[in-house]
Amino acid sequence: MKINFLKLGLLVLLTLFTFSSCNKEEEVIESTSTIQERGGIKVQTKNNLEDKELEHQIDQNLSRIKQIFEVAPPKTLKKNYKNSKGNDSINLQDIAINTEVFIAIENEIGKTSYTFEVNFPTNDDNQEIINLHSYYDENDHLKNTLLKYELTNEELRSVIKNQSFDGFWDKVFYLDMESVDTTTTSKRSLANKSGDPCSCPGGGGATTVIWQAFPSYSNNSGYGGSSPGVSYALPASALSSPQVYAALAQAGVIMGYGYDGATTMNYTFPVIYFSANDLSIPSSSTTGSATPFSNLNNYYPFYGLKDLIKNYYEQVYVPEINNYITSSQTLMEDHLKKQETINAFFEFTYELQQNSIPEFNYLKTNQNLTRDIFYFFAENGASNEAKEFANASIEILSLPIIISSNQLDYKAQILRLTNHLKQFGNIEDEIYAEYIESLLPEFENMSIGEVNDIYLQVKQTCNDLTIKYFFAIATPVVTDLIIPVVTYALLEATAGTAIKLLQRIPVSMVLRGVRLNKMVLKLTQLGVPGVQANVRVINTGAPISKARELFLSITKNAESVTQVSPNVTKAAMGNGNFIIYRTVSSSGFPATIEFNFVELLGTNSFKLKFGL
Amino acid sequence: MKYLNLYCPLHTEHLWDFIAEVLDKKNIPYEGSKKKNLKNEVLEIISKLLDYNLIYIGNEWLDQSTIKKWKLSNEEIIKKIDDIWFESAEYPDFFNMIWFGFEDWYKNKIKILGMTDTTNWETFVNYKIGDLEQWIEENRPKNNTIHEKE
Repeated sequence: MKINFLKLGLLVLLTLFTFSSCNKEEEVIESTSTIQERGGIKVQTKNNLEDKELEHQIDQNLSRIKQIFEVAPPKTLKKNYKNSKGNDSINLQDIAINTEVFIAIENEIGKTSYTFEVNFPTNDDNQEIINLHSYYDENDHLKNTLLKYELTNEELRSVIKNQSFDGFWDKVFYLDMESVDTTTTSKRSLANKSGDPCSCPGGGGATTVIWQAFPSYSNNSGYGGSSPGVSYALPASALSSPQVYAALAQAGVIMGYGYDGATTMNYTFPVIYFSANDLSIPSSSTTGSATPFSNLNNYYPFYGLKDLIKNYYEQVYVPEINNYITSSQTLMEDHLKKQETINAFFEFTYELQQNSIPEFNYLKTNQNLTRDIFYFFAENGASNEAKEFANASIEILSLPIIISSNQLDYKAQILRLTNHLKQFGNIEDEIYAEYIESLLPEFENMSIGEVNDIYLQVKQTCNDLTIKYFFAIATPVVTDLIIPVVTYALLEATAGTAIKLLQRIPVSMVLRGVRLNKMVLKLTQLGVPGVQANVRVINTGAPISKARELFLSITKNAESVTQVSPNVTKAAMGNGNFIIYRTVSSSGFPATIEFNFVELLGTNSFKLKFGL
Repeated sequence: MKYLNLYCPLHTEHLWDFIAEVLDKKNIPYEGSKKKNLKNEVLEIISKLLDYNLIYIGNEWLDQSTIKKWKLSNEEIIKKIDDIWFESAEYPDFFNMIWFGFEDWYKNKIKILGMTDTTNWETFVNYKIGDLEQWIEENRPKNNTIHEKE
C-alpha cells in the first residue's frame, strides 16, 4: 500500500509540475523522453498520439469539456464581455486539449494512462490547472476524468517545494466525465459546480457537473503524523467515489485503497532525488529529438560543456549555511529549474549559431565566456532582455583588436565600446564612458600611437566590465576605471597628451567621499616604492606639468585650494584631509604631492614624488 | 634605532615629516596627540640630528631644491623652531614654517654605499651600515657642531 502513495505523490506532482512549468509559448520539443522511472512506474513526456482510439476520443472529450466549462467554468476563465450589461459569455473556441505535450504513465502491469493539459484563456496569474486524465479500466474501456488544481502561485510553489499536496487537498478536485450528461443541450439550464440543479426553461433534464473535492486531512487530525512537509494523511477512500479511485488506480495514479471506509492512513513520503542523467538536451531543430544528458559530447558544441552542466547541476544551495554544496541528489524543484536553464542556454546558442556564425564560433573558442553565459541564464532565465544582453556581450567581446593609422577608426571603435557601457553599465560606467568620449576630439592632437594606447585601454576596460555584468557584481567605482588612463598619462603619455587626459577628468570622478578615497588609494600605488613604505616615486617626462595637472584634477571638488607658501599649495578635501602640491624639495624631486588622509591611508604622511 | 626613518637623507624635508613619524610610531593622529609633548619630542629629535651634524635648517629657498641655511648655533636653531611652531598649528601650517636639508658629507657617504631614491632605507641601513649611530660617530666631521650665525 505504501508504494501506491509514493506513486501518487510522484505521478500527480510530475504531471502537475510538467504542465505548470510549461510555458505555452515555448517551443514544443518534438520528442518522447523518459522523465522518470521509479518502482515499475514509467512516466514519459510525449507529443505524439499513437493510440488511435485515444486520438479519436480527444475530439469527443473536447466537446464534452466545452459543455462542462459552459456549465461550470474554471474560476479564472477569461470571458467575453459583449454588452454593457455585463452579460459575459465564454468563447468556447479558445478551449483546447493540449496534445502537443502530454504525459503518458505506464504502471507496473503495463497499463498506460494519459494526462493532457486543458488549455483555456485566463486573466488570472494564479494557477488553476485542469488536466484531462484518460485511462483504460479493468475491462479495457477508455475512461476520462478531469483533475483540477485550484492553487495560487504561492501554494503551487509550496506544493512543489514540499513535493506533497499536504494541506492543499481541498483545492484538488476531480470530475468523472462519464457522470456528466452531455445529451442535454447547452441552452438548457444547467447546474453549477456545486451540483445544485436549477430550473431549465422549456423543461427537460438538467446536466449536473459535480467537481468532487478530496476530503482534507491533516497531521493533527488524530491519525498520527510525522515531520511536516514530508507526510500526510490521505483521505479514506470510502469518502470519495470508489469509481474514481479505481479508475485512477488503473493508471497508477491512485489515492490508495481502504474500502472499509474507516481506514485512515498516514504515510511518510521519501524524498525523490534526481541526477544529472535525468536531464535532457533539447534538439536544435523542431523535428529533432532531445538527447539524454548522458549522450552529450563533452567536446561539442562547446568544449567542457558536459562537465560544466554536471558541475552546475550538482551544486545545491543550502539555506542553513547560505552557500552551495556539491551533491548528486537533487530535489524535483531544483531539477526542473536546472532543466529550464539547460533549455534556455541551448536555445540561445542555437539561435546564435543561426544568426551569427562568427559570434557563435567566438563563444565556442572561449570556455570562460561559455561558462559565464551559462550561469547568467541560470541566474536570470532566458527572457528576451537576457538574450539581448548576452548577444550584445558576445558581440562586444568578440570584436577584434584593430590596428589603424587613422584616428577615425579608433574613434568609431571606442564609440561602439562606450555605447555598450552606457547601455548595460551602471552610473559609474556611464561616467567613465562619457569621459572617454570627451577625449575623442583631442585625438587629432595626439600621436596615432597614443590613440592606439587609449583605445586598447578602453577595450580592456569594456571587456572586463562586460564580464562583470554577467555576475551582477557591483562594478568598480569610476575612479577604478579611470586609473589605467591616469597611469598611462603619468607614466607613458607625452606631456601634451597627459595634460589633456588629466584635464578632462570630470569633477564627478573625484567627488569627495568614496570616489576621491578610491582615487587616493589608487594613486598611492602608482610608480615604484620609494625610500619608505609611505613614499612612491613616479619617474616620468615633464614631472612638474603632470604632477600639477594631477593635483588640479583630483582637487576639483576641494573645499578650498590655497597657497601655503611659495611653491606650496594646499587643497582642503574635507574631514581633515589635505592634499599638498609643492615644487620645492631638498631631496631634489621636481614635484611632490602629499596626501594627509590619515584614516584612509593609515599614516600621517604619504608622498608621491615626481622625478625625471 | 628609534625614528630611523628621519635619518633618511632622501625623505626628511619639513617639520611635518618629524611629526608624522612620531605620530605613526605611536599610532595616533595629530588631533589626538598632546601637542606640547609632541613638540618637545620632535625638538629633541631635531636637536640630536643637529648634534650629529646631519641636517641644516632654513625657512627660505634659494631655488626649488636649495634651502637658505640658518647660520645659528644648535641651541638657537631649536629655540627659533620653538618660536615658529605656534601652539594651534594645523597640518598645512607646517609647510610654511621651516625646511630641512641633509649635509653633503652624509648624503655623499650614503650615496657611495648605494642608497638611491628607490632604495628602502631600513633595509639599506640593516645591510650596508648596521649600527647607524655608531657609523655616524665614526664618519661625521668632528669640528663643525656650531653653525655659522646668520
